[in-house]
Formats: sequence, structure tokens, C-alpha cells
Amino acid sequence: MKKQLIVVCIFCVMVFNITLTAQSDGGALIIKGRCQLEEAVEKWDEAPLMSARAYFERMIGKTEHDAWTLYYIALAESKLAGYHFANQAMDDAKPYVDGGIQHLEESLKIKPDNADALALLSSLLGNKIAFDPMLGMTLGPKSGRLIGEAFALEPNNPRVSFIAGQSAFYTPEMYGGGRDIALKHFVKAVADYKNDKPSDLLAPVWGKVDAYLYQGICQMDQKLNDEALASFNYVLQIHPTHAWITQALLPELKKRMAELDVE
Amino acid sequence: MRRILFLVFFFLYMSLTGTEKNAIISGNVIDKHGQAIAYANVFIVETMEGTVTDKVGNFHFESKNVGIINLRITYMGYASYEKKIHLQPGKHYQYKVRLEEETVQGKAITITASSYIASNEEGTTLTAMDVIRTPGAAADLFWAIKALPGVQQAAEGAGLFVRGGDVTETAIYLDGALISHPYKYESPTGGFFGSFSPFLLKGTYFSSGGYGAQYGNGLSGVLAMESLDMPAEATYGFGIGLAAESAFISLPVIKGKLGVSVSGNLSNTKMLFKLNGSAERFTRTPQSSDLNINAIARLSKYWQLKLFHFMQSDRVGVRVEDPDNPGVFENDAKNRFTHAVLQGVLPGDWLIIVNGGVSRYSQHPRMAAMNFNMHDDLGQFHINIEKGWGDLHIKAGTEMLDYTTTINGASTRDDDNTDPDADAFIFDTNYQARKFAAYLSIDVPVGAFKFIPGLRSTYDNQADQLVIDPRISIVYGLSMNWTVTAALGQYHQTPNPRYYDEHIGNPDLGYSRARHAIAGVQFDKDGTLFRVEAYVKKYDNLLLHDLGYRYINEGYGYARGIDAFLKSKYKTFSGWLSYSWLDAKRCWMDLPVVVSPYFDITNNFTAVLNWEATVRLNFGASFRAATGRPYTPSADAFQSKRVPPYIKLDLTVGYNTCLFGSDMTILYASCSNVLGRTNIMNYSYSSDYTQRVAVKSAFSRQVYFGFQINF
Repeated sequence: MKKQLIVVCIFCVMVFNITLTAQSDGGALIIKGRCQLEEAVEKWDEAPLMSARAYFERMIGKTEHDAWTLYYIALAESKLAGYHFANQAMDDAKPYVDGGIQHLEESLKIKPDNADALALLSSLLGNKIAFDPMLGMTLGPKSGRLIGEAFALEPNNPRVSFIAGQSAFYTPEMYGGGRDIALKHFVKAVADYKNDKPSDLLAPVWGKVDAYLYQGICQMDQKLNDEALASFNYVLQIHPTHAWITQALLPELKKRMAELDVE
Repeated sequence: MRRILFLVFFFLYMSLTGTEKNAIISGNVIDKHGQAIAYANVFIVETMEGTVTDKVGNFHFESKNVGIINLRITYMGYASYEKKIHLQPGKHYQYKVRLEEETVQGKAITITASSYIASNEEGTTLTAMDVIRTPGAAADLFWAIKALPGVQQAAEGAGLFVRGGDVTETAIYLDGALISHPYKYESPTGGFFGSFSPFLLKGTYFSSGGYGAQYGNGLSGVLAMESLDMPAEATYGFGIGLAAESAFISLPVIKGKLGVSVSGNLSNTKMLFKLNGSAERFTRTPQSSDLNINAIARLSKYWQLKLFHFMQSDRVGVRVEDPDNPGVFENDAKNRFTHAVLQGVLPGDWLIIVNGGVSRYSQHPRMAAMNFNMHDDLGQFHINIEKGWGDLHIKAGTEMLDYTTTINGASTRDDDNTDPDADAFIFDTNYQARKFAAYLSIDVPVGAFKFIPGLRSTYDNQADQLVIDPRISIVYGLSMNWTVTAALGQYHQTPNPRYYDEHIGNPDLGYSRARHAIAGVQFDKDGTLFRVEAYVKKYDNLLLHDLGYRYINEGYGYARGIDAFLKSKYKTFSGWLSYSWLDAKRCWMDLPVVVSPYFDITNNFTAVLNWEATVRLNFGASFRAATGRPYTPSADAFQSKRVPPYIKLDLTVGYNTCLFGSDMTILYASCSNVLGRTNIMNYSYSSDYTQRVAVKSAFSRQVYFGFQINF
């Protein structure tokens, strides 16, 4: 009996070790990195974003999921580009846009039917056009085609709708953009986020809060004040101190609503 | 039993924590200047172990690994560092690593040798506001470009004399169409102003040499302008100055589908010259008017049609200083240009641009025995296609140009002859020429290099010659900020149609040829741009007057020089410095021996400074200094002396506000030639060279003021 117990205990230790090893491999690593990146985006600082990017970079070639690894490197780079854009440091943003494009192209070589990668690539090409508008004539159609392919692959992918909305939001009407079109995409994105059940566990899950935020801005534009307030309130439930909303958007919206009440 | 449980937990503990101490890897990462690199990724290639450097470049992490591992350090824009380490438990490994900047593989290299871009886009050499704010440039694009290196201060006015080339050797394009008469108040040295307002332009590309196969019929340089895109919203405005009134309106007729912009200018310099005391130089002070209409229709998501119509007229009467026969030169000119551009995307992502148009320039110059009418008509059609595969980019095109020049009236052999009794001949000629050209250019990135080889072939029915010009531009990205550029190329240009005339020219004329070799280096970081370039150009088959006063293709010459350009910004100050050294010699036109042509200006220096004193108030200053131009003091000493150096200081002040509910109101005042220096542009000699008269600059100290209101 004693001998049997010893064997059982040693077996348990071995199994426990094997489980740990498995969890530090493959998909678990990506999910861990995804959480790290989400936290970094929430902190919105260069250091955690760089750490998250570095984590995925270390992962290249170490799992069977390099398509996702490259996607998440690109996603981190797109966030870093956004961070530098927001700080008006265009020279610092550029390498991340180029890096993101390169990593997504590599990712799509491995997994060509990845709607998330196609949509993100479309978005980064849009950023590249912002640096050099002369590229618009060649990259513009390519960007449009990629988002179209993403929609065709996964019509209900909320991130595809969100990226399409962002693209329309920042594109002048004369080039097929505008906030009217953007709002339609954001509304669809918000609806799709509610039903988002990715078939692939490693697929991204970002963008829901931003979809509400942009939806709110577009609703403000359309004078849909109550709807805009609801959108902003949703964001505030998750990020109660969201600076853009609390310091700029909400005061403006409340001012407008007060003016309407007076009238 | 207890012993067994202890044993189990001991195994469990050991399996989780290990029995040995971890190895420690730490250190510091710097760049080649010793500056810390923050957030570099430091990791063991074989595992996930690693960290990122902190803000001062330090890193520290522990590894459970033993044996030989590879330590890798990466950072975007830098070559990755890798080192084999034999890790032993408990040991501490320390490294100070210097990362070398990567030879920017994959970095989009948009610059080429000798090219400058003026627009509002990031990364351009001059922004549209630079053009407008350059003191002394009179909000004229051509004048502002003259402040760039490689453009010589050979004459007053807007004429672009590029790197030892004559003004006619710079090809000017608008929306891909060749503009044969791009100047107002046209003269042999170009014209006094450019015809196109910078407010009408979206962007401008200027190359002072080594330009690609896309452009032709220019031996020295290229200026390619692009007109405005569809207006996003309705805007209108007007401006009134001491010598000009202007107005514009831009309307998105169907938002996002159809937009129209109309602008017009009226210029009458009578008040300007009266106020500044030099009205007596003119029998008719310069006057001009122009109207521009630009319509853009978006036909579908990827197809757009742009129509551009431009009409302009000007007139001037000026006294000509001549010791033998002081005279008066008068001219009336009209310029018309209508052009359509269709651009879109073909299946397979091929971008296609088809453009075609017609233009007519008419003038009626008269001086002494010379009095004739000239009409220059140009019809043109171009097709350009381009496509990119990643960084590989191919561009090809074809074009057809149809020239018709009619001249009738009386003229002397020598354009500058002011003798009313000079021998004049009556002529009535109708000259026609047709040019066909095709080109192919490919951008090929190879590592840190980018090669842009190209070929251009041109056939001219008058010259009855097919020429093929190979060209190549090479760019090497030394680092993220430093770029080395080089270009080699051959360029052909046919003479102005009137030189084919049997009376004043030679119907058998062929192409003139130039060969360029350019090398340079550029630094570009955080709004500071520094560029220095050296070049050599060889000319042959240039036009030369033979003894029978006919033109022949036996002229030749060379130009060599160094250009330097520095543009930067510090707090509320911005500006640029530009310097060119040039040595040009030619046996050409009326110069029967190899000497300095009048545009061989050895030293050219320009300094431009703008100061945003407040958000509303800005000041600008520009200083230009140039070696005096060569002149001929006696019949046997061609171009052996130079006029005194050209020196000019200009100041401007601008105040932005919002009067009368406008979006923007700009009040401005300027003083050109603040030093009041009398710049001598040339000497006019009597026929026996015993008397001379200095031809002085039209710019004595002058004050100008006005306002612009935009709604």
C-alpha cells in the first residue's frame, strides 16, 4: 500500500509538471500575451506597450501559432503608432506603422483567410497614407479591397466593422468616408460585439470600448444626444476616468443638451 | 507515512523551484552615440525568458537555463545583436551592448538626388506656407524655389536657371502636362512672375538634376506642379494689395462628387511704382489679369476627372537702357491653357492617369525695328500607368506633343537690337513639330538600397531623330536619418520651334544633349533637413550661332558645382539656409568660345528666417547674396568681367485675425531691398564698346502692403 501511495504521489507530481509545461506552450502563451497587451492599452503608456510587443516578438517560432503571434506584434505596433500619433510624434509613429504592415503581411502568408489580420492591415495602410498622401492612389484601393475581403470572410466580426468605421471616420467624404458612414459601421460593430463568440480561442477580443466611444462621437455629430450619452456612459462604466470623454466630449454634450432644454 | 509525504512534497517543491540558483543576465544597451536605448527587447532565443530595457537602457533578468544559449537584443530601426553564452547556474553575466542603426531595409525611401517637394504634407522640403511666407518671394512659387540650392540668381524675376543651365532648359509641368509658357511678363530670362498661384496648387516637385525618365525635354531641371483636389467645404475670399486684387471661391457642388474652384487676379503695378518712385522706367506699368477654373468630378470610388482652365493676359512697356539707341520695349501677351486629367484604378490595382489638353500663347512684342505677332500652340496627350508590388514599383507612360508656332511681322537678327534703323526682315512662318515619347521606370529596393533605373525614348519629326536616354537614381539608407543619393542620366531637348525657322534659325537642327552625374548625402530628423550634393554636367550639341548667323548644333560646355541646404525649426523660429557653388562654361548661342554664360553665378547664398512672435503675429526676413553675373566689356573679351555682387534683404510682417466674421484675415506688409542697394544686373554697351549703361534692378527699396480675407 505504501509503495502504491508513493507511486501515485510521484505520478501526480509528474502530471502536474507536464500540465505546467503544456500551459507555458502554444496557445496559452498567446492568451497570456493578449492579456498583457490589453492591460498595456488600458495603461496607455509606451513602456507596457513595448513590453507587450517584446513578449510576442520573443514568441516567434516557438509555437505553432505564428500567424497569431505576428498578428499580435502588429496589433501592439498599431497601438504604439497610435500612442505616438496622439503625442504628435509622427517620426516615432512611422516605424511602427511600417513594422505592423510587414508583420501582418507575414502573418497573412501563413493564414491568408484571417479577417482580423486583413482588417488591421487595411487600417495600417490607411495610416501610411496619412504620412504620405501621394500613396493614396495606390494604397487607398488596396486598403479598401482588404477591408472588403475581411467583411466577405467574417461579415459579423466586430473588429472588421470597427476598423471600417474608423477608416470612414478619418476619411473625407469626397474620398468615400464621412461620419454618416462611420456611424453605420460603429453601430454594427457594437451589435456584433454583443454576439461576439470567436471560433478561434486565440482570436483578438479588443475594440469594444472604442466602438462605443466612436459611436458616441458620431451620434453627437448627428445630434443623437441621448444615444451619444448612453454610448459614453457605457465607456465610463469600464473606464470611469476616460479623459477624452470626461474632459471634452461629455461637457460638450451636456452643454448642448442643456441648450436644447432651454429652447 | 510522514516520510513518504515529506518525500512527495519535497519532489513537488523541487520540481517547481529547482534546486540550483538561476543565472543572472544584466547590462545596458546604447546606440553608437552612447545614448541609452529604452524598451529594447532582450531575450534568450531558445526560451521565452527575457525583458525590455528601462528608460536608461538597463536590463536585468534571471534564467533557469544552463548550457549554451543565444542572447538576442532587438530594437526597431537597429540591427539585432546576438551573442552565444554558456550559462551556468548562479553566475552573473553582464553586458554593455551597442546597437548599430539598421541599414533600413524596407524603409520607404521617397527622396532621390536633387529633388525638392513643396506642399503641406509632412516630410516635404518647403510647405505651401513657406512659399507664401518667404520674404521677397511675392507669394510666387518660382521666386520661392529660387531660394533653393542649385537655382542661380542670374536675372531678376521668376526664371529658373538651374545648375549652370539656361532658363529654357527647365521643363515645367502642371498635372502632368507640359507648360510651354509658365511665366507672366515673359522675357528671354523667363518672366517676372510664375503664372500659377501657390493657392491653386496642392503640391510641387522640383528637381535640379538627375530626374527620372518620367520627365523629358529639359536639359537641366524639372518643376512639376499639381493642382488642388476637390474642395471639402465651401470657401471664398478676396485680397487687396498695393498692386493686385484677387478673389477665389471653392464649392463642393455635390458633396464628395463634384467640386469647382474659381479664382482670379488683377494686377496693376502703377500705384506700387508710383509710391516707390520708379514709375519713370515704364511707358506702361506692368498689368495682368488671370482667371482659373478647376472642376473635379468623382466618377466612382476609384475614378476621378479633373478639368483645369487657365487664361491670363499681361502687358508691359519698359524703357531700354542702350548707349546707342535708348528705346522702348512693349509687349502684350495672352496665355490660355485647358487640360483634363482622368485617373483611376484598373483591374489588378494598376493606377492609370490619362491627360490631354491644349494651350495657346500669343504675344506681340515691339521695339525699334522689331514688331511681330507670335502664336505658340501646343496640343498634348499623355498616358501613365503605375503599379506597386510591395516596395517594387513600376511606372510607364507615353506622350504625344504637337507644336504649332506662327510668327509674322518684322524682326531684326539680334533680339536686343534697339536701333530703329536696323535691318529688319519681314517673315510669315508657320512651324509645326510633333514629338512622341515613351518611358519606363522601376523602383527596385534591394536591402538598404533603392535603385530607380529608367529609360526614355523620344522621337521628334523635325529633328527626325529617335533618342534613347538611360537614367538611374540610387538611394542608400545609411541609417534612419542619413541617406546617400546618386544619379546618372542622359537628357535631350529639342530647340524652341522658332529656331527651326529658315529665316532666323535652321530647319536642320537636332537635339541638344546633357549628361548628369550627381552624388549627395542627406540628413532628415525631427524637422531638420540637411543636404549636400556635388554634380557634374556635360553639354553637347548645344545651339550655336555660326558665322552666317544661322544656328547649328555645335555648341558644348559643362557645369559643375556643390549645393548645400539646411532647413530647421527652433521653438518659434524656422527657416533655411541655401548655398550653391557653380562653375559653368559654354560655347553657346552668341558665345563663340568656351566662357562663362551669363547664368554662371559662382556663389549663391540665401537665408530665410520666420519668427512666429505670437499665434497671430509673424515676422520674416530673407537675405540673398550672389556673385555678379558675367558680362562682355569689349568685343574680344567675352564674358571676362562680372557686375558687382547681388545683395538683397527683404522683410515681411503678417498679422492673422478674423475680421468681419471671416475664418481668417491676414494683414501683411513687406519691404523689399531694405538696404536700398542698387543691384546692377548687367551693362549695356554701345556697338563699339566705348560707352556703357548699367542695367539696374527693378527692385529699389519698395514697400508693399495688403490684406487677404477668407471665409
